[in-house]
Amino acid sequence: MKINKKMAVFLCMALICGFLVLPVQAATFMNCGDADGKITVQSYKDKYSAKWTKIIDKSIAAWNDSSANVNISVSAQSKNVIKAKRYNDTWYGLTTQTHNKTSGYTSKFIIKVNTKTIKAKATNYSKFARSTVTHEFGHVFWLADNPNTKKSSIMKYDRDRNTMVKPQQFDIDNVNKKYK
Amino acid sequence: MKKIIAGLLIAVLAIAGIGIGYKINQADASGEEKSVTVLQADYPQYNTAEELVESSDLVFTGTVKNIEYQMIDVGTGEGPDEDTGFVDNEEIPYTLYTIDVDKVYKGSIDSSSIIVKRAGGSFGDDEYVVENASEISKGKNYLFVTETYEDTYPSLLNADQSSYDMDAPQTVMEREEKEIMLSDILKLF
Ligand SMILES: [Zn+2]
Repeated sequence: MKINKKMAVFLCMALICGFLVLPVQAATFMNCGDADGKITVQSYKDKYSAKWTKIIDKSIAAWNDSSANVNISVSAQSKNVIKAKRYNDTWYGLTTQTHNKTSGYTSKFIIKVNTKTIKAKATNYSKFARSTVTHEFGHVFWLADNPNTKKSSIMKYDRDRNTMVKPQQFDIDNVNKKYK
Repeated sequence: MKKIIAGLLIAVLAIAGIGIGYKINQADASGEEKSVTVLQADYPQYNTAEELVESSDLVFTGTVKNIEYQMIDVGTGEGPDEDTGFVDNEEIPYTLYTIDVDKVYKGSIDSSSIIVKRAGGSFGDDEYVVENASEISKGKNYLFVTETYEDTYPSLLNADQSSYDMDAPQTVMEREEKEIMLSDILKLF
């Protein structure tokens, strides 16, 4: 078979460049998340003020009522916990996920929400808090922080947390790529 | 010409080979169903140096003398939280940076060295990686933008806009969209 030399050189260069460029692209997904999108969280109503119970209720509903193929249910036995209080740190939210290294499937997650930081920055406390909790659930559904897109996203750092409380179409589309 | 093509082909095959080898190694290592824990931290983002410095009560430069990991309970107070009612005494993984202080731009530091914290760190098999976190290395000199607390170490304001390498300042040409640079901060003092 006769190979066009210029073509061969071009192909080789393209392949090499491909290898070098690939890892730089911004990620939409993390390398871990729930297997089927049906998750549980530990019962929280008896552990929180009425105001905070409502904030968590609404954040869960934001996902359950969306067209994303996910479901969040509340169970006394669940190992997955939402912890909201005043922490001496600068983050709004912190999600830890223990997952299998091979499959990426999460076996346990803990969502921490820092009301100290939220109080200091929010103009609408409840919505800001809901924006944070809804965002943290996004991580459990594989969504990565701050996706590189011009579209609106609950995962973006520069979203207006005082107004955006629900997963956006971009987020729902991405979640549904994982849970067909 | 043929040699060049052959060389390029070998290079491509070698890279592909490394890729495959890496995948196999990963599969071997994870055969034992190993689990790992990752941490996603969501911080405020700052649009300008003014906004960043305004939000901070301690801005200083110094050299990193030591880096260690510690589990810390950063919850305020015992018992139910006054905001939420929730009780939590769980410890969170942190990286602690011991810094020999050079110059204080905002706020005050009593001694010649200080420890600051940032969420994440390495604890045996558990690697708590905070994505997008700026690199902070032992022996290097940085400007730090932090927030202080009465009963725990100061925190960096966020993961990626709170430490600036004093010995490798960026040029304006390298500025990315909305990026805050060391020179923007120094201009304020
Ligand atoms: Zn996040």
